Amino acid sequence: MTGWITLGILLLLLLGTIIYTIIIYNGFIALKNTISQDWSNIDVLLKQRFDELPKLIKVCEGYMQHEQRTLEAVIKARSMVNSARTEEQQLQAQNMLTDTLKSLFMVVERYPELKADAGFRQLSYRITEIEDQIADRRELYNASVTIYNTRLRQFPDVVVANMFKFQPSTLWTIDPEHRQDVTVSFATG
Amino acid sequence: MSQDLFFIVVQQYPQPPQRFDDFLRLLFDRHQLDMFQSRQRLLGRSLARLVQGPRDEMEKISATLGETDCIHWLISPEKVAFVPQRIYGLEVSGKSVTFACRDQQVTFPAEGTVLAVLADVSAGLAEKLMGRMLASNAYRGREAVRHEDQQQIFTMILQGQPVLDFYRLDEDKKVTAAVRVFPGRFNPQGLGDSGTLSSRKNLEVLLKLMEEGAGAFQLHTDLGLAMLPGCQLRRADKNDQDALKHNLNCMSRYGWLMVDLWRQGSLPRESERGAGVPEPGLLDTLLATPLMAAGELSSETDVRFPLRDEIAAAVQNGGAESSGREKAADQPKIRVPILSSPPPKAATGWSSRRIWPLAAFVGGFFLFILLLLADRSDLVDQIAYHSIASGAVPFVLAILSFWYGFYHLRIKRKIENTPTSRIRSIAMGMVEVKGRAIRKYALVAPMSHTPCVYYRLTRYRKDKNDRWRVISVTGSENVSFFVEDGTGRVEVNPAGGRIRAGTRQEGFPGQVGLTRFASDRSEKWREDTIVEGTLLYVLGFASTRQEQGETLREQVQRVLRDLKSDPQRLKKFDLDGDGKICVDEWDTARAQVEKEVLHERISQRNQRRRRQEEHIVIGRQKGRPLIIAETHSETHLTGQYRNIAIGLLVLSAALTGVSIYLLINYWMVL
Repeated sequence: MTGWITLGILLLLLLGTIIYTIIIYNGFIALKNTISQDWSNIDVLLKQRFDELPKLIKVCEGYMQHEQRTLEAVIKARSMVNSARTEEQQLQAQNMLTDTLKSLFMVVERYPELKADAGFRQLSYRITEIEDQIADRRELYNASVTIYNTRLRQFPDVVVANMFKFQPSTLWTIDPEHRQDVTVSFATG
Repeated sequence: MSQDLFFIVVQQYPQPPQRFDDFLRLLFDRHQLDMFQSRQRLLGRSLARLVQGPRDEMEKISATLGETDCIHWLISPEKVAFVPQRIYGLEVSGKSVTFACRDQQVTFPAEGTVLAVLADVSAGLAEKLMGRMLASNAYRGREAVRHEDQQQIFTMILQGQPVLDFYRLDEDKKVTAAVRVFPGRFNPQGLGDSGTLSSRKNLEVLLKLMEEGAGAFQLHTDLGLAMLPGCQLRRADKNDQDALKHNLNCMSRYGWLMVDLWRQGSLPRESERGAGVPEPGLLDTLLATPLMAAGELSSETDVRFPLRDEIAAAVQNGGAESSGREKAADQPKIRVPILSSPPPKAATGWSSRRIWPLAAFVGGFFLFILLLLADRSDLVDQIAYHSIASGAVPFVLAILSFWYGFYHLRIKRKIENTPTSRIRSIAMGMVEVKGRAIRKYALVAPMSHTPCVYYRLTRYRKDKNDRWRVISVTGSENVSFFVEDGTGRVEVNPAGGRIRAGTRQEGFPGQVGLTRFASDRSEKWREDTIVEGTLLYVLGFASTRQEQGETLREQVQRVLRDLKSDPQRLKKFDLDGDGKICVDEWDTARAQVEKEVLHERISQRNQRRRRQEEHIVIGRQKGRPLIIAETHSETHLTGQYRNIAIGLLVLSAALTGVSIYLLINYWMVL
């Protein structure tokens, strides 16, 4: 009788193991999809920022007659985003756009009338808001990747990961240039 | 009290101003003032002692307070040289008033300087105000808490056990005499025609008389509310002589302190201090001389917190016209968002989660009835016996616990696998957010009357065997609320979710508080609540809420209706000028209206950027969990799910063993 009971419990354990394996496998698939979704959600905001830029440039043009170079840099970076084909190009173009926008907002300090313009204030607030959201979503993307990569190396998930050959994902990292301290120059020109 | 000891007394803020935390941090960084204690002392509706110590230290703190425009006084309080004398009668001559005391007469000359203190010596004022404030918080919301104005406080004092003190001051604001008036314990004949049969009314008349006769007059009614040294009242019944004596001593101390503050030159009249923002008289003085006590900083000081502008703006917008009790009614109403009543429960629809257990129950019930009708009660017994003896029942239970065990395991992993989103950047889909629970509606727990975002009330009744049976379970699953994480707030609809409330209270019907027990103990209730302000964990599906209000079609129809009833506008579409609108003309008008409405809606949408809570809601979606839990950490929550899962799986293994054992025995018997 004891043998039958042991067999029954072993069968239950086997069933449990199979179900647990399925749960882990499905978890990996869900995590991979979450990572893709988080990445795409960043794109949604980048697109919103892209769409808001022409309005900002239009407002700035009226005031910043002497800053054509800065404005042209923003326009150029925007068009680069539009024409980027590969993921790497896209990333570079977006980073460039972020940089040129930063320069633009720094230059704006010299134009009190522009700063006082309601339209500019609204647009700059909107773009800053989008920038904050982009930063949040990048953090969220990295959090998803970290959870996924941790799961890949944890027991018992590592067994399932090796069985089905799940590969680690890469974190979003910034351009090494941006790690350097910012040098602020007050020279006009 | 040593003369070397100095106090800083502050005018409290009714609501934390902007950058209040920065202000507290500044006080800590510069002067090591405990942030929590400073917060306690700076928030309120009256005066409070912020700190005490040697003069040089206090002057430094005072300078910091001056930088931030915090209304304060630096004083070295005088000792109470004498207490006010009780009066037995009075005589009014022109504008001067002479009070008859036990041993002497005290005259308050016309155009003199008088400070009055009116207080409820039973110390019930603070309790009443606290009760009203809690009720206001519960039913109006924390952002719309209604503070009682001076007129209401005045009335509340008169309704309690009022005592009135008058202090006669000389040109240097030094106390030269003081009298104490107990209503109904002096001869009111001196009031002349103004005297009445009501002792409290006489007190009011006397107060008015003194105010009219004085050149400079201040009335203070905050005893019991102010956090000043030696002014803490004790709750006293009429017969509690010790407490009354203590409170009268506090009143004397308070009066002398108010004189000290007035001597500093800028003490606002309480009748001029609003419940919300400082009033113009005070503010003008403040803006002209930002530092009242230390007096060293000039008004040109550049270091400013935004508070000054905020107060000035508030005064310009809100309180510019008011100056005293008489004008309180004329004050423009400041609109604050008041919480609305919770929505009524919607009729519950059939869901797959409910229909299966119900179908199983109904099926079993009918089978049982059929067997009874067929007079086969022995068959019922046999089925029960065989289903247990063969191990079928333990096996079914084993399957159920196995399934539920893995269900909890799946939930645990789902929680672990979902990263936490910031609310301001929340995306559509499964999300996890953490933050404080904020009410959207004026939801109050039915038994404990606690303002909460969610409650579940279970009622029990004792059966014949003296065991508690559940008779009803009600909850607020239909009432949505907000979660706020510092970056924004988002609406949460708890319907259909797994909700873990952190606060549980039990009691009996008729029980009030912890001390008054109910006589009937055959029923009891248990209330689980998520109290407003607690930290919440929410895992659910974020989606955009359906647009409320008029649809495009409805708006077009409305505009067309308006157009029909406006002949002047219709003329514009009468192209052939025959005075009638033909079908073609009407089509043109319709097309133009549609175009205009569409443009208007697009421009409105662009102009009005909606806040997060206005269009995103986290709720339950079919096949996806909604978990709302009051927990201090995610690990704690997943730990609970893990423990439940392990328990259920172990139980399942044990039940499997039992069912196999029973099955083998059953076979052997057969």
